[in-house]
Amino acid sequence: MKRNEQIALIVMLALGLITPWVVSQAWVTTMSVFFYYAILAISWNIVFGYAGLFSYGHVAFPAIGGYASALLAEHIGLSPFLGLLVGGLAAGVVGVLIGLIILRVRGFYLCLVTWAFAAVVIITINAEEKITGGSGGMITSAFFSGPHSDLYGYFVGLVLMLLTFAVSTTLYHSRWGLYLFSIRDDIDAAESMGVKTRFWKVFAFTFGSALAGVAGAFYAHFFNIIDPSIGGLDEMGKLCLIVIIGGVGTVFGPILGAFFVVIASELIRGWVAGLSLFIFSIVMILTVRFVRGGFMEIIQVFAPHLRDRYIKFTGSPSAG
Amino acid sequence: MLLELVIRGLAIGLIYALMGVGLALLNGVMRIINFAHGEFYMIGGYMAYYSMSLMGFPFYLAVPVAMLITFFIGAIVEKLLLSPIHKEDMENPMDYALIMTFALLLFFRKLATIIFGPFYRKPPDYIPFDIHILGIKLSGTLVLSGVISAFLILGLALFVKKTWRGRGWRAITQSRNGAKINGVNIGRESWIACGLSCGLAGAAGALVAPIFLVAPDCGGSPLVKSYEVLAIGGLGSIAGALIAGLMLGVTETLGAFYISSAYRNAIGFAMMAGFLLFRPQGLLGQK
Repeated sequence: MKRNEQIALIVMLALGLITPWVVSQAWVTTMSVFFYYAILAISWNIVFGYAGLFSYGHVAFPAIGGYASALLAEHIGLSPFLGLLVGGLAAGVVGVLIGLIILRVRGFYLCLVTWAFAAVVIITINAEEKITGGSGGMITSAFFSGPHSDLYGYFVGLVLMLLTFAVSTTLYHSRWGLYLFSIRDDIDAAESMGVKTRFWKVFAFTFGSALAGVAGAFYAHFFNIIDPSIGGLDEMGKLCLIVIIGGVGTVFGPILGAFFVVIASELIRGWVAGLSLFIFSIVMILTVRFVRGGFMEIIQVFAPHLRDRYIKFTGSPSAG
Repeated sequence: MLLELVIRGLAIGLIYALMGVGLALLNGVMRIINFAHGEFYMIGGYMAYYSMSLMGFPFYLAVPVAMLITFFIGAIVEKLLLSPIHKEDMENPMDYALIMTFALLLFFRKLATIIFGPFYRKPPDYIPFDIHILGIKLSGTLVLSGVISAFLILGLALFVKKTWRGRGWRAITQSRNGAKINGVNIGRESWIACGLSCGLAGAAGALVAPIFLVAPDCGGSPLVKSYEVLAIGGLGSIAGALIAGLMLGVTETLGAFYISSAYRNAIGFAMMAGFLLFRPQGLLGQK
């Protein structure tokens, strides 16, 4: 991790610790939703942004993780904290299988296979009503009981998000990350340089899926309910939007995007109900059309200007 | 019973094939995957409904009107949003085109909810009586839509095979640069092909509107089917799409009856995944 990322991590931790005492209860819940989407977006960013695998069925993994954890908690009374691990593990195991399958396909075939997989997962969850409760969803156990359960759940989410962020940042700067980038940028060149592309593709896919599974388990136990819409097309749209407007393949992008989208949809909900996805789809179209790098591109364009002005202001070139 | 299911499956399969053919055409000419294909189906359905209920058009006018409107919407979308992605120099245009069409899917779906409301609409039946084939009673509208789909697919196949423009499209499919060198105007052909592809989806939507009804999110299932058709039949092959559509329609109808209707949609997905993994080029596609 570089210096600015360490600073960002500490700032996020501090802000996260302060927030519950500043804002109202409803916003604490909203922030927890933000944690869920941030973890999910970071995990998709590893699959799509780092390794270039356009997995269109990524939202199936939180569904798998969430349902695995919820079912185990219901039937053998597993603690929700172990459920996070189990959810990640279940999604990771399925991720290995799908990762091995998608080695055979490239480009948009990959997109179609992962999409088919996600659709089959959701159809199965809907169809097996006796086990999963069908489209109505199922009730799950909470992390904590008592009056402040939401607040404690919020801290669980904060810790999870910061851990995920730290992991993805470390991956970004590590040798492993470079392998993934080489696969994304030019797979033939990577292979000829001796990168084990097959292994690293499966690795990226599994890693991303496992993180998504953890996110799903967190979602299930925080809201005490999980239903099949967690793996639906609208969710995938939201996930795409978050990563795109944040900045694909960047470290901060998914978190910025998730923050923007979750907070904005909460604000929009007040005055135009049901329109948030419509507005977001316009934002997404404009982003893809004009600023493909998202927020991070805007920041990178403006950062030198800001630094110049800062230098002019202080008169010392050493700053920045 | 078996024969009835097979005939129903064939009629539905022709609609699937019509959706898939448009997608195959677009994929060949523009090298993109259009996730908003099902939304043009939805728009086509609404146009047919409104031109029949508001303007009082008979169905043989309503379907062409729906097709024309979706043609122009598709062409505008291509001009404004899709072609700039290909023009600019960037690393992986396909991913961004995918995301763009996905955003369009959400956009059209939510826009339709705002404009038309979330209700199911049903235009009057095109043929209000049943038709008996081989002693089996079938709804006239279904037979009609199957027949018209077959003619549209045939027309497209002839167009691509015989005309000068169709030859240009085939050239682009084989090699973009080669076609460009030989004087094919790729920019113009792209928007025409995109419009035509969307127009075919609109025609499909208009044709089956009285059977499957129209709603803002009714494009989801046809979109899925057209991808299955594309993957099974092979990219860029019209005959393959036709065979795949018929196959899919029959398998699904039989599977829904004999196995379980809850898994009806999973059957197509399983077929698609199987083909992608074990025969990636599809039934008739080239490697």
